[in-house]
Amino acid sequence: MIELFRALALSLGIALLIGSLFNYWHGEPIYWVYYLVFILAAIVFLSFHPIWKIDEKYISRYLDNQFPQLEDSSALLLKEPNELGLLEGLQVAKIVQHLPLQQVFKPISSKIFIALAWLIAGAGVFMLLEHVPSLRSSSLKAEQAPKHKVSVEKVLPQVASYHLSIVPPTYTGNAPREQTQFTLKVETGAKVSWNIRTNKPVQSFYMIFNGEEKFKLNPTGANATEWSFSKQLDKQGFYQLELDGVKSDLYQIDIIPDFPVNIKILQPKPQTVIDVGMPTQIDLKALLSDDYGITEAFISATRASGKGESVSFTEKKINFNVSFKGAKSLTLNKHIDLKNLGMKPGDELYFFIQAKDNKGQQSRSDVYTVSIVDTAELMSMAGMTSGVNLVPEYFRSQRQIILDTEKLLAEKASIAVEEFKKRSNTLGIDQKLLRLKYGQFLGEENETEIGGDHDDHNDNDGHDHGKQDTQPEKFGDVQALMDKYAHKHDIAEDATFFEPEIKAQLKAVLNEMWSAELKLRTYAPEDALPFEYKALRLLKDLQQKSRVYVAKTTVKTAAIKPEKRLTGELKEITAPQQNLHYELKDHTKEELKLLLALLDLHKNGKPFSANDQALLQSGEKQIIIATASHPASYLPALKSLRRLSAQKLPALNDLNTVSNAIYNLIGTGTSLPQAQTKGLSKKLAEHYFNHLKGY
Amino acid sequence: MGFGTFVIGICMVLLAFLIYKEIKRTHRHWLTGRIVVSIVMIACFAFLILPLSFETSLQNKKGQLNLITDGVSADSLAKIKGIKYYTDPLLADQLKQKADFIPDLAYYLIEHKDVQNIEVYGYGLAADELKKLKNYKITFHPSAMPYGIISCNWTEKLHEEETFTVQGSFHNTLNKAIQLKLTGFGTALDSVMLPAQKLSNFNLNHQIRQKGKALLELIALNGKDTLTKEIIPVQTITRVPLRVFMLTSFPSFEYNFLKKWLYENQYPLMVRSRISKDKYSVDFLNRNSSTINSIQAGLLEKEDVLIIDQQELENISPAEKRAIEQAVTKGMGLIIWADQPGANTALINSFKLTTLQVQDKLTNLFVLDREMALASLPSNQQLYISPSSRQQAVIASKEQHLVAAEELYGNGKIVATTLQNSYQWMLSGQQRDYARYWSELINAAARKQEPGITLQTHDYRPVVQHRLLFQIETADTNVPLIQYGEKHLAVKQNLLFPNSWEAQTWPLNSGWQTLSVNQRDFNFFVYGKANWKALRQYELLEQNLNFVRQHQVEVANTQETTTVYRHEVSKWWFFICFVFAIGFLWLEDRVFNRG
Repeated sequence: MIELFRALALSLGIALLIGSLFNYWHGEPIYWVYYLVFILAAIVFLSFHPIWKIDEKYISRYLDNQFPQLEDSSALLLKEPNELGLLEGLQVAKIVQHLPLQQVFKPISSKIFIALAWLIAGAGVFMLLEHVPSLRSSSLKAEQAPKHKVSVEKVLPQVASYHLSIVPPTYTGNAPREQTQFTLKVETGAKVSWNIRTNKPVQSFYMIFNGEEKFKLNPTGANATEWSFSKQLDKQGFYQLELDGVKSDLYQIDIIPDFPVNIKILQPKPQTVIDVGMPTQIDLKALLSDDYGITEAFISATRASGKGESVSFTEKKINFNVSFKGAKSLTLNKHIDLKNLGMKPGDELYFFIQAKDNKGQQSRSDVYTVSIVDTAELMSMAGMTSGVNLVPEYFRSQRQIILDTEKLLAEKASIAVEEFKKRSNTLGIDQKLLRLKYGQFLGEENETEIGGDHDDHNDNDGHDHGKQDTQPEKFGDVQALMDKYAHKHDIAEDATFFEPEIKAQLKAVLNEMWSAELKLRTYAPEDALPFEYKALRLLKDLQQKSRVYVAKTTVKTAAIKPEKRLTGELKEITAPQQNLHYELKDHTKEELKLLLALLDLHKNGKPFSANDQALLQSGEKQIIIATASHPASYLPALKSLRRLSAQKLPALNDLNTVSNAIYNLIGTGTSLPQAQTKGLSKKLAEHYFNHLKGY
Repeated sequence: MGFGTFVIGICMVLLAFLIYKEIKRTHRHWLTGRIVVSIVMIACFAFLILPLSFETSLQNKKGQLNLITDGVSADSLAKIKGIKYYTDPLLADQLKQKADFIPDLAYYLIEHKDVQNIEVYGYGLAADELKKLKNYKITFHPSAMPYGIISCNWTEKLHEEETFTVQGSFHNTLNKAIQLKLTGFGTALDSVMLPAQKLSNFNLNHQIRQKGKALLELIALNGKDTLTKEIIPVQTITRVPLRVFMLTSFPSFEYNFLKKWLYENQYPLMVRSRISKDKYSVDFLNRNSSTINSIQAGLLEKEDVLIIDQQELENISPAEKRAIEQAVTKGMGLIIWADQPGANTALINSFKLTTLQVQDKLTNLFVLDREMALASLPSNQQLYISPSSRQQAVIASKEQHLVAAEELYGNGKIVATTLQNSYQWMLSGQQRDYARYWSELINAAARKQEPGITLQTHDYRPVVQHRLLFQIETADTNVPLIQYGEKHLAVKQNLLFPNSWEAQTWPLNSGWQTLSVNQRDFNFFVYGKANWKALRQYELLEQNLNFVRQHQVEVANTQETTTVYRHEVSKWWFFICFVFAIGFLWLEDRVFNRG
């Protein structure tokens, strides 16, 4: 073909060139010259290149010459496949992969180019000399095709027009809207109406939601072309239309959920303790926000009073004195006077904020507690009179200081100012002494040698403190007791036997004592009182912490005789035996795993077999379930999967989408024990191994 | 010669006549031009009859053969002196006109006995060709290291849920860092950035999720442009349920949780816990019952793992202990919950237990083999195993305190663990860590399965239309029946090992292929020729370098020879010149006459 074309182009070119020149020179056009020159040129060319001699053998020879990769075997391709021998077959398979050959015509393309150049030159000269109008006319401006908007949704051809009206629920306050798009994004509980007109009467019209709910539609018009349907949408998923048994594409339903009111309490802290002397009131500050509007919010407070078994609870609803009017976000402040609630020392208040949005969804905050310290409880000796107590007098001292302070305050009116100041100062000194005593536990510097540092430390004994002390031990001498355990010759603070937690609390106690001392020394015992109480409370906590409670036991067991153990008569006792077989009911994961591998195998475009289709269907079930809950992530996969089942040849895109969805559905698995394989054991090797063990 | 002289003579006469006519012309317009054109015309006419040819010469060393192989760039090709040859037909397009084709190097060398020295350019010759050149001096001029993945390794057959790891090195010649992505199932599984202009190693992981075969891809990306794309075939091994036997002195939490976990994962399980003297509570889960009041060698023969606590190991009779010892020697796995240091029983006394005063909670256990961390446990651990040269650590804490270790015992393995509260992972919802922990212990100990038949391809990456050699081992010495596609393959028995066989074929298609040996199917993947090109080129390069290093043949210095080539100028050029010259002479005359 190429050769023939080349001959024609060359001859025609020469004919045109020579003919036009001849005519130009001759003056009058004589057309037979063209034919004559054409025929002559063609004859000359064909005598050089006998194109009728080109046959399959010629071509295979030509290809073998030009392409070494054919390994001189292209003639084998001309043979019938069943005539080929084994080796020939292998060779054919080897060279077939090089076919179709690239640039088969490259060597002769230059010749064709020459022929074409002749043709163009001839035609050019012909046109120039004949005064043919210029090429302008042929350069037509390519009209720009109008931009075609690719519709995202595929609509059934029977559907002539459609529009959807969405009425959002009233609580949202959103206006009703219309759309001409099947994909929906609506508020929870919105009512959606579909108005669809078909271009011809339709016998049956269904809407299928989430692949399971099927609704039959009734025509609104007389001739079964106008249909409408409405439904309130509460959950995510997808739907499709079915017209006369033809199913449409899947359309997504996205639900905009309404979340309950979000409540954030900024003030007070989750647990507040009100000490003596502190104002018995709290300032509540909370931040409320909602998607559409808050209709109600109040504080629910529960007061717990009493102790032991006589605890009584009283519940009270405290309103915020604001109107909500459906505001989307609010900052609420409330001043709560605990005394008005009837709170006494020792009572606790539990409260939370409850709010309601305009949909009627209720939400509540975490429970916060406020407790008022009971001074009476602190002063009681209940915890100190029983059990072991290492340092009882100190606690008593703090208690004594409080009692004295209160006594001083009570007598303030009846005594002279001088006397008052003196007593206050004395109390301050007492407080200081007490503080210093506690300071020793922390290894603080001692100012007044109270307790004193022990210097009976024997250098020779090094770190061995198991050595008996010759001095008789004084009962209740804490210092002596401590010395037994403490080791003080490096950092004093680390030498105590307290845990860091206890140390921290001790420090806090000392701080409170400091403050109390300051107030007492500045003759303001009423200000000192809260600090004193706090110090006492912290000390009490410390005391509770270090106490171990062991209940009394009344039962005494007989001593075990080891020789009699396990000698009882056991004949009558039967050994329990259990036979169970675990049945795995849920095979979906296994199927999905198989499907994943199957999809991968079909990436080369192999069609699915009937068995494969069954697996695809079981996968579809899983994807439908996933799509109903997460339409945005799984709907494309479901569409692709349906295309895969419907089409003969799978498309790579669909395979990838479905694979991805299934891959995500499978999720990461847990590893399970699996037997490893070994190489084949040969008898010789085993024999060798067994002998090897002897050495 | 006679004809040539005759033609030249005629032409000279014709030229003289034409020049005479020109000079004699009345108006003498454009005289010089016309004379020059006439000379050109006559010259062209002469060359139309007498072919014009010229010669070129090439310097070549005597006895030297320049072989061009794949990977030679145009620049370096131009620098090579002498005649160039190539043997790979696929280079034909690239080297046409520049080098000559040798269809078969061996034949060529027989014909050209003088060749002693072979200069190889590019990535080098294939192994089977190199083999023929042992007696020649080969000088190898390697091309630059190819761009792309030059080495890569992974395990093709994995268990389900196992973590697949692909490692290798990438030669990035670009000026930009590139991204290497492991993709599959329509999604990216793992990726890594590789620095610019560097040979860097990579390591990508992915947990197997499919059941069966799958093709993953390793894609190198520069922004959004794909630079290279390689295929990674993986297939899963069918899970063989392990048979587990558990013995405890009392039903502890650890025992109950493990029993439940194995039962729910459908392992055939036999458990026995002591209630009283010679009284046991026995469970047969996912299997048929048998009598297990006394443990005998026959009972243990089929079990893959025996899990026993230390106390029970001490409680059982000496005969039972011997039975266990024997079974372990024959390949059964033994896992011992060790809880007391200083044990005397033979199977456990090689594990030296030590008590460490570690107060902190067990937060940082990890699986040594996989460098996989386990979640922290809420209680503290004081008993550890001292490292020993005979044992290998399985689970250890970050401070290198061993919690579990394994030891070889005959054909089998003994694993001891000091962790008594792994069930707390279950309680705190960390099922995955529990599974990892027990999988690791059981996998370490379990009896290894006899494959029955093993099949290996000789090449690590079989390539389409290349010889593919299978090495097959069977359990017995009967000739295996091997079917590949519709053909049966002939097998060759190994001379030394009568159960070892060899078969060969030439795969015609790439992709997954199946070979069945005695009706058992084995899948293997055949790569296309375009796959793993850089890697194969690099391997070839290394192979050639090694070959040259190992085969140093000394050859006497060679002299240079010159080869002369004769080229003929196409007559068409002269014809065109002739036509134009005539045309000019005619047209000039006409134009002047009109003017």
